Amino acid sequence: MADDHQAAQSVGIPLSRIWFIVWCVAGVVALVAGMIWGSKLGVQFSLATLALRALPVVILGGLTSVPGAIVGGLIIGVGEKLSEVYLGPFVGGGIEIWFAYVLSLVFLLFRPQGLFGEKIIDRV
Amino acid sequence: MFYRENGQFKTSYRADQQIFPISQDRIAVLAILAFAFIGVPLLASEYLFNAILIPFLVMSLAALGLNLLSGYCGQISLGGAAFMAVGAYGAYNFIMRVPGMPLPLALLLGGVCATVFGVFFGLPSLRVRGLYLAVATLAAQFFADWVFLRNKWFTLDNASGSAAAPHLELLGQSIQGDVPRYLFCLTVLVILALLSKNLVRSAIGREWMAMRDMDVAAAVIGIRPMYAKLSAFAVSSFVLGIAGGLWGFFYLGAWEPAAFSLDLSLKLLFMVIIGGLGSIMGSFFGAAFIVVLPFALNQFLPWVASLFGFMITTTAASHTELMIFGVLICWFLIVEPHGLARLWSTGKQKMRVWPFPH
Repeated sequence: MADDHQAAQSVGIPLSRIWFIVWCVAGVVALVAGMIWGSKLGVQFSLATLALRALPVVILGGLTSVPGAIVGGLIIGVGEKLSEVYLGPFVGGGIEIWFAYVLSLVFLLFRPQGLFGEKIIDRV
Repeated sequence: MFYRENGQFKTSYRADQQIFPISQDRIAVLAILAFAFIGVPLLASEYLFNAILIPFLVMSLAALGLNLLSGYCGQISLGGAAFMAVGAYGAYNFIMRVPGMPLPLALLLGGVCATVFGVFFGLPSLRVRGLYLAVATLAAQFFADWVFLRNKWFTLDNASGSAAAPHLELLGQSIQGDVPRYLFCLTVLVILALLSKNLVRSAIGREWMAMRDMDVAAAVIGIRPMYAKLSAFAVSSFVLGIAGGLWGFFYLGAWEPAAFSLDLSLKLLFMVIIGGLGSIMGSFFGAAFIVVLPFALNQFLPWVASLFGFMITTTAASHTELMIFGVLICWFLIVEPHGLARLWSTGKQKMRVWPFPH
């Protein structure tokens, strides 16, 4: 499905139903995450920007991998706070807003598919 | 009827390679330029200059810069505002620290700073693409936000942490007024738009497009991915840097790092996508859509509401404005996924064969 829409359709996969299921599951998982976050740290409008933090997590863990997302989340979450405590004082603090992105950036340079992602094979 | 190219024979290579091969196009472009340079300064009011015209010009320039990268070279970037910020703070530092630095030179040097920054953050594009690259450029965005907020050196150790534009001068003349500022931005925009238009139809532009369409195939036929991608990053961030300098000096006047936040990056990306990826004309349409539409909604909503007989408060109006704006963006993308530029070229095609359908 993600690889090639038209090919998926031509072998008889119902596109619209798959889309429906994918969006539903994504919504429910995000809802659970939002409720847990909200019950711990409160709900504000700025919660919307939190979703951007999820991007480096899936990138680091590797797309198409559920364990990757969990391990990536741990690395990013712990790494952010540790970097703030140990590295922050040397450069003026507040580095946790960009640390996750730079971490995943450096990681991508060495392993473009992330920790557990499928190996990327280029075809022409 | 009016838009026929029959009988316009090309008898020389020069004629064959012009930017606008159809003579009606040339006349239209000249007419628009003449109107923008002569007509608008005579007609527009002070409010119109500051609220619409100057932001429209600068945002067009920024969208143009991002379009070179995302539209022509296919590298989706969420760091547009970061490159603008580097350009703005670069120009600011050059003009404040070097005595007697002329304004155009400071803007150019700001663009050069943005180029260096852009090439550095473009390096990951050699290894990753698509969503991965978007995250990499997001790193540039947050990093720039943080540097300009925390490092007081960039704002000349100013206690408030904001940067204020100096008195704007060109060749000893003050250009602080609305009309001179407008004309300066317009001139920069026209020059850079012409240069980009020429660039994207040259060998470099074709290399970028080959990279965008399929990078492995392009590499196989002998296009060096490193040169193609990094040159796209360099040119795009140069244009974005100059746009950032103009945005700070000519529109904002005084600004804080929050002026170049992720919000602006996303807006730039919207402009490029709504206007049309891979089209110089599209950048202008996109900028007009994003800059002018909220303003127009703001003006017309209370009027429309009073037409139906109920009053609308200012807060409700601004909330409705956001909602309608979002719906319009979705609607446009569903109706015309290739952006406003495609509508424009379809219209042109229709005019060519008018009154026949095909």
